[in-house]
Amino acid sequence: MTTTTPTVCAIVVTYNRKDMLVRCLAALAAQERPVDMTVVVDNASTDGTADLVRAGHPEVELLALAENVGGAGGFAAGMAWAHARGYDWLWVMDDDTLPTPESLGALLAGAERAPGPAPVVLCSDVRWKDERLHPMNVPSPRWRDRGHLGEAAGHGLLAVRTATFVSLAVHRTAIDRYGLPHAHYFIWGDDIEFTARVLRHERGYLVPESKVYHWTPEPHSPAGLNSDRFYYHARNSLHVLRSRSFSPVERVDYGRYYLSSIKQFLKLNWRDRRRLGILLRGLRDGLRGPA
Amino acid sequence: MTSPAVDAVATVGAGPDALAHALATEAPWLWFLAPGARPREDALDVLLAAVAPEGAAPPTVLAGLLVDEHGVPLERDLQATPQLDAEAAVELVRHRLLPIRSAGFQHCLVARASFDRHGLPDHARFGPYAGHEWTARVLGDSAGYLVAASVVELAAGAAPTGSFAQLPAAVRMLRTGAWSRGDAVRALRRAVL
Repeated sequence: MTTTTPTVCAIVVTYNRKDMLVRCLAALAAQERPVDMTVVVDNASTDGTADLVRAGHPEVELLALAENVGGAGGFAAGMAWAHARGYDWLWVMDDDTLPTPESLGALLAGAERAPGPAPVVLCSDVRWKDERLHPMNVPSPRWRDRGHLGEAAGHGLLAVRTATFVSLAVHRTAIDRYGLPHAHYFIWGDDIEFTARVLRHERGYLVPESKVYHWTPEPHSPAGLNSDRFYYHARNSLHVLRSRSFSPVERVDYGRYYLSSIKQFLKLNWRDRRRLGILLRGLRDGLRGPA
Repeated sequence: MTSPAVDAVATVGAGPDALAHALATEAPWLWFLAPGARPREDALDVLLAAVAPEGAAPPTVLAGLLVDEHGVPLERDLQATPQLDAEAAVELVRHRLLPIRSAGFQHCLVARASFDRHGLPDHARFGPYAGHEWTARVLGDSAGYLVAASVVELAAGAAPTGSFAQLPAAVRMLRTGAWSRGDAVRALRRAVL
């Protein structure tokens, strides 16, 4: 960790949501602790997003991808871009994330007051529109490390084992040591795998004073039980289980969660042959290829 | 270490005699401390400040943090078993609290009224785990928090640890209903893994 003021690059991944992106960029511009750079990763939007950024936000760096590589590919590209330019903290979020003005300053203050080794991951308290905790973005506390969990709570921090890419600050040293998120996940699970990989050996915290809103239409859970996107959950969760991001004991817990989600999906879709096919393809592809 | 709001009593060794003596004082809160424990100067005040946390349920049990002589948290001690509720943890950590499912009597503030409702700890059956069995019963229907900023130094090994030694106590806690099957399975996994 450097002793000088750290530099922060905000990374916003967007796809065909101009209105949300504009609100997100306005929220970033209103930070009490200003970001040093904002990069928008446009996943080949077709609604004029790139033109909007070029014309309306000259202060923002636009990373216009040639094709839609999903959230996972977008975050990987944006983080690689910021890491290559030497920023200390990479603050990642989707375009439907609305940070409150104190979000970034609070994250960095959390890093300053953290006990012991410097953290390399910091995450925010993520709320839905009605102020409830967003069910997609509740991090997993570090339950197994009770001493550390307690010590962190004494400093007003929640030690976390995994977190999501909705207002997550990653220190550049995490990329140096553990690499980038896996772009081939496309969507879902890339953040869990990445943070699990990094935080298996490093420290990360939720900073409760750093509050953001995740402005999704519904406060849905991550698995997407009623969606064709369950394919990515089925596939990527197997990738996570095959990786070494979790310890063997943690994989048992993750496997139980995975089986539970499969069971729920089957309960809802067991008469739908097309959906069953999606599940089977997800299972097949999850057992193949790189984890 | 006094508070005008709460009259707290320290018991020595948290044994039955010490507890009987403490209950005779009719103090509303009882502070359990292990023999040889060295509370930091503000340990009790910090506990007392959490008696009525803003925006959270009033607690019946408040456990503090145990550290060794070097200030390092006792990693495997059973002082406080977290309630595995991520949402509650996120909500509470801003108050420097964590939800707990049970706690030992090494450094623990307990509402006196809980003894009226749940009786006394069963030291004869549960030995060093009596605090956990009793608080597990109490916290089955009330709130308890780890107040991590309240720190007590304790020699490593002075507190009962999660191990196979806990197994008989866990079985008894399951039978008395202090623990659910899930609680017992989690405790067993912690001991084994």
